[in-house]
Amino acid sequence: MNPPLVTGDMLRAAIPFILLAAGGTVVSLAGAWRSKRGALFAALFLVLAFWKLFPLLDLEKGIELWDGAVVADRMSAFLGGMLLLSGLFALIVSPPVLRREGRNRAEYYGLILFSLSGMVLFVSTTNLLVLFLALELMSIPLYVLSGYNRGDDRSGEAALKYFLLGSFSSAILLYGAALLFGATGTINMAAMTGGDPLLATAGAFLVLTGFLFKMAAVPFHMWAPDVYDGAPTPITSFMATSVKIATFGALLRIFSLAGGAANPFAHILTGENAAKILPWLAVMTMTLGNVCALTQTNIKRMLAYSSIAHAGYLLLGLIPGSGAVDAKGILYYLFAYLLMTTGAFTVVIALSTRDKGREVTGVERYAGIGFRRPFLGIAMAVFLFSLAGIPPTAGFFGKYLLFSGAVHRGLTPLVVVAVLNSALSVYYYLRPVVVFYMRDTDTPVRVDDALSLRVASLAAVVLLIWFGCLPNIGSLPGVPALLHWVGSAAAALP
Amino acid sequence: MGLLSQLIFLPLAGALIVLAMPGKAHKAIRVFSFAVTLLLFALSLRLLPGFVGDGSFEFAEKAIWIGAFGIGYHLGVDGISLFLVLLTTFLAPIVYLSAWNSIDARVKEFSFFYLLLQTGMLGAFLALDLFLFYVFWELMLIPMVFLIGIWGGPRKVYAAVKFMIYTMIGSLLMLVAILFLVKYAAGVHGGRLSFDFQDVLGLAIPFDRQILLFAAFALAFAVKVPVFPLHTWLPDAHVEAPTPASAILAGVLLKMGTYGFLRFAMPLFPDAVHYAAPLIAVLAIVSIVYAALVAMVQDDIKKLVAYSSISHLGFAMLGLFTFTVVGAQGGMFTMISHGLTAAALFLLVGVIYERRHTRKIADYGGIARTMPLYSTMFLIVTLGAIGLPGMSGFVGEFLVLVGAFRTSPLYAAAAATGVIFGAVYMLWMVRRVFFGPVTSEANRKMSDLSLREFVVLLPLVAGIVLLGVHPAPLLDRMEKSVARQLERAGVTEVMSPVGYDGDGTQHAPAPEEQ
Repeated sequence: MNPPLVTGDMLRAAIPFILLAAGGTVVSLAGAWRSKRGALFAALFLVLAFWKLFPLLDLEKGIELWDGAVVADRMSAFLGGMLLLSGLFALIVSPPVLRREGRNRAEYYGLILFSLSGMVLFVSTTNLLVLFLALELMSIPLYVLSGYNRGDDRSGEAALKYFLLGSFSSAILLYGAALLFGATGTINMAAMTGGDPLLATAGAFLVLTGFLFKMAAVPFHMWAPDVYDGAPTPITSFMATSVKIATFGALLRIFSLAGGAANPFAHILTGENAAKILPWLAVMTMTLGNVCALTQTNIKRMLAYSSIAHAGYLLLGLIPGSGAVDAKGILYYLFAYLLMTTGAFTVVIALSTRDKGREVTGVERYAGIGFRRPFLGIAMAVFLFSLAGIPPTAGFFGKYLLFSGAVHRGLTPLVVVAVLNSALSVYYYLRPVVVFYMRDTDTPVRVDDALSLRVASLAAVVLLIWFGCLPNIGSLPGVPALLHWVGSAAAALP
Repeated sequence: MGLLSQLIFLPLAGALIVLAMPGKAHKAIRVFSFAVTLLLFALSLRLLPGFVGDGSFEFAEKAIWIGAFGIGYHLGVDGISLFLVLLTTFLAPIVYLSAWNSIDARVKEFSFFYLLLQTGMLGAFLALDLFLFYVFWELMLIPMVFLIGIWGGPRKVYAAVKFMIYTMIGSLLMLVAILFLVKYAAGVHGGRLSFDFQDVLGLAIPFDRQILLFAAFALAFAVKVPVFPLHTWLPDAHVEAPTPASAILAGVLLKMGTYGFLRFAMPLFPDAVHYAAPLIAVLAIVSIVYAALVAMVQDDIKKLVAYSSISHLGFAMLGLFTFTVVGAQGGMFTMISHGLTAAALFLLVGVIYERRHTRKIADYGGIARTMPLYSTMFLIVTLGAIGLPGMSGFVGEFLVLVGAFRTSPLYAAAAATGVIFGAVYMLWMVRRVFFGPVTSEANRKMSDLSLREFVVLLPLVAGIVLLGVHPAPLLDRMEKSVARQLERAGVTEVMSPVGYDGDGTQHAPAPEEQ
């Protein structure tokens, strides 16, 4: 007897992804009639996808479909939840900006949903072909969205740069996938073993390069400052958070498959010479990101370099050292990073103005704003102190987890480099705080007081402090603590 | 909630309430915050009757915070932290009252940060869990940066950022050392993670590791003390900081460094401490003499007082690193005494700064005629600071010198020059500011202390004299705890200090008899 065409498992595992893709289509089409309601429609689909994803957080055993094309387990559910949260933030903070520019169209939200569907798929597959498809599905809408400010030539430049370099890196990833297939005869990474060592290692490294580009690790970071600066700020915020979550999430899965020494990716983690590459990448990424951020005067570029630095801290968690990949630390840090980065960009949105079709985002004009807008000032201070890793914020606890994990895996020298980097970062994270609180001016400035911006930043502030002080206690009755989620997701990996 | 938790969280609760008050209600905010600090002091006095002083951690509270990582909520007070806690709560209302008029802008934010700072400082003194300690250690940094950066002088931003960066570099390296220490302890305890102070004690860490760990801790604490050559943030911070922030900075925050050495760095890494002791003692002596010499040539009164702080804290450091109970007790006593004198001096400088808006020594002269009460106060505090017998400064410096002499007469001789220089720069400044003819018309019109200023300064002056004539209550309660910490630091031969029989029954002779 033939197996049934569609099983309950299939529906359960694939439905969040299908909902998002369908949502993207519906929202884009509905835009023709109800253009102004795009954000609302998109949010509906997003919440629906979240609702379908939620039960997967408690999956006892992972579901694997179609030769690893879709893998649903607690890990992919947790990562998917973070991605959806990042998307939700984007949906909440975008309308004020788009309305300001008279460009509040439904396609924008449709593209966000398409990109999200790609990301959710990206973190829940072990199949190289699907991985590539998901990568493109998440990237192409982002290329379009970064050029969404048509009147601003910097936005166009950002889109073109991102598109060219992004396609190039996708091609590298695809080439790596081809080599891996050639060496091992399968496209399911979970099943890969043996093969010609040179071919397999080269393939694994080319695939890794594609990932490094997406997460903006040095030396593949060049696009990030220009793209982050030129893209509309809500998209910058969305990109900075969701793409990092997706790439680190997918890498976590791939690296955890490399337990067997015969897996091609094991060469990256434990190979004699190759194993030195990840530590160097981490050191270069965090150091260059922090050093370059020191001299930035534009806050979006500053946050772009800071996001490079954070990729460096996260890379620490991927170095196995004397143990295994630190999934817990990475997941927790990603969650904290999501909240603090989105929060900081939300404040930037509230403070940005337009001048001759260009978005102006300098902070220097906002001297003393912390006293005139107390909530805005406190929120920004919390976000920046959290980014700098100062207790009692989630940013600190995340750093603690990552660093402590690294110390336990025998990587103390790397941790010393990382904390010196953190000390360096304090200097530039402090600068907006200095401007907001320690300089005076009477020049009136315009601040966007949209309710949605306030709600988003309030939520981020409360969660950051909660997760910093009480990471082991659920923030709502009946909801398990963040540490519990993180631990259970990490345990789902092989 | 135990007494210690109440002490820590009372100011935090006060700060949050201040945050909710309307910003324009200056008077209400001031009265409320002052009431909170007074209540805090009253609450802290409840520590005294029940305190035994047997060297163990009393009033201990222990709870699990983040169990999976061995992070606990462990508080306790012993003879070392008791008086630092009392100093903190004693200064809290006094300093707040002193800022009643001088901080007239952004009172709400000032009160918020001021109260938050109390939480951070008390938490750092009381925490016995390394993770908890680190959290409070960082927590007290932020409000201080804001206090300097918002209400400070012309170069406030530079001073605030410098202060922050210096402290952060030290403390982040300490964080790595803490993580490593906990990992090492877990290896010894069969994989059980614990940040508890008592669980990481006595680990017999290999020497090469100990040196690195101690270096990381020492850097964090030495920046805070500050020990030469890491002191350069301090003059900037003090000169730019508003008077109340200076008073707290000198009065309490600097003690964090010496406290950290005695509480954590010395007992945790005994071998490394002994190895590094000569270097640290020499640096402490250099701090004493160098800062005294630099203070001598200052033309700004506040800067002079700032450098005198470095010099005095050098004494405290030297006392700890003599590895004698008497020396360490002297160091502790110097910390308390300096907390009173430095806070008083900064407040006193603030008084004339409010009237004349200058801190240049040359702008004053003959003030003793126009402000007799003020001058009397200033003179008493000065005498306390330079260690006149009968004043608090003398007891500490004397005990440190006794301890130093036992360790190395050379140390004692070198440090003693600092006492002489200290008298020179302080008295020279006093002569130029208070005596001689009144040269400037503005100085002639200066009004003497107001009732509020008098009330602010009186407890400090009283404390300086009282500790000077009757130091025994402090020394008695400290002795066992200091001895216990030194024992943990590997000092086996615990020498009985002058006039002591070791069990604390016989009181230290009052300085007059020595």
